[in-house]
Amino acid sequence: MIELPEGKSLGWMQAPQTWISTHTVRFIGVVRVVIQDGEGYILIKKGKPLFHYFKHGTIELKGHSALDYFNSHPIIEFNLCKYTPEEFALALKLCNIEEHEPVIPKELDSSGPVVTEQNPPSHPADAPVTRPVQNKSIPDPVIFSPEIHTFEERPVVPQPVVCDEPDLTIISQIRNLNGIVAISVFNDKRNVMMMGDADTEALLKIAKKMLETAKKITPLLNWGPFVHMTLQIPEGNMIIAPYHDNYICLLTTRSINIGHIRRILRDLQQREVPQNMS
Amino acid sequence: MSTFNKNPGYSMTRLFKILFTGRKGTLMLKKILNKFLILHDVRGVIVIRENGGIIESIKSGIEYEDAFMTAVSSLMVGSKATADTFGNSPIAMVFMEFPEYFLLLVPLKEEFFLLIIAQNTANIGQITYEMKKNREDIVSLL
Repeated sequence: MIELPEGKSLGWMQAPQTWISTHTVRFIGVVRVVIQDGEGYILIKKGKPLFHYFKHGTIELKGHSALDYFNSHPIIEFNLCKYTPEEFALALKLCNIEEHEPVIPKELDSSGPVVTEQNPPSHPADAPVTRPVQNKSIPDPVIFSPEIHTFEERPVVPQPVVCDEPDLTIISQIRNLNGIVAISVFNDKRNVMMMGDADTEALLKIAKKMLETAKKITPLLNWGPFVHMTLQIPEGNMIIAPYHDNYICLLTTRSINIGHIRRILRDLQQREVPQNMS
Repeated sequence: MSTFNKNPGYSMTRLFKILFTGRKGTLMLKKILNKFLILHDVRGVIVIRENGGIIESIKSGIEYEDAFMTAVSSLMVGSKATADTFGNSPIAMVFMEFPEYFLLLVPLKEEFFLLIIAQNTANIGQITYEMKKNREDIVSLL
């Protein structure tokens, strides 16, 4: 297995493979995938998957076969790891991928080749082995780029929400707060994504029941849209709140009180406003 | 002639005692509920049955219309159904927030609940503190 740079982990989550490309429009990094005893990754640049890879025992899958394998699972568990431009350039190099857009490291090495916009098929500053994908003379070429978009033509559940990288950062930040057990984004039909230690199906079932109650009550009260609902049981809190066109669901320990929950949600919903207005 | 006379258990003295304690209980319950109503931006306090029947209520600046009571009933039933999916976990509290108001529902005993209606600017910490402090007294009057 090709070892890619570590990157900065935004947290583990569970979602369908199709969720990844539609929710990473500003994400540059690697998505590390774990399915049973196997592991792999998807190298992504702003929603565009550049390389799919999976290894289970001696079986190695690359490109479409890896993608098909990921798609054969309704939900996969993965960790989004954000790359710096340097890490991304290195990852491209390791995967033998020719990038068609300039990859400019934060600090340009003056000794390296000059990257200009007039010279698009650029190379990372220190990537002498980077070569065109068409070069068939090199063993084990990485089959990638244009054809990978075919997976988007497959019948998938429509996903209206574009939850891009800053959202993922916010969600992973919430997940990392003390007392947050799990966080999920869901809608009436399904779980969009999940981070944390909880059974996705069970969490979704409870969240949907709460949403059903909220939807029943809201028109009767005539107090405007519901902002959030918390159900407290001895084991902890279950919270639902509108989030973009979906809903967010939090599972917390009892160490988190209503005031704390309201602050988290207010912060999250305030960050959401500029995106809704644009 | 009187229904009470047919029942040997209801002497006039006994009936007077029941009526007197009942009235006293109602007054005491109202007095406790008032401790919540005087909190900043609390608009209503209700002791309610799961079926929507009001045991006692006080309010300030809001109306308990039919639609409101239906909503409260739905909240109790819906919350119980959700808690059942947790594996019959008892509900400790249900909080539902809207742009200006929130509802806070706490089970008292069996099918009895305490419902607080407040503006979002109310202090939840104070409300929950009063709940802890007065819960036993309210339960004893039900």
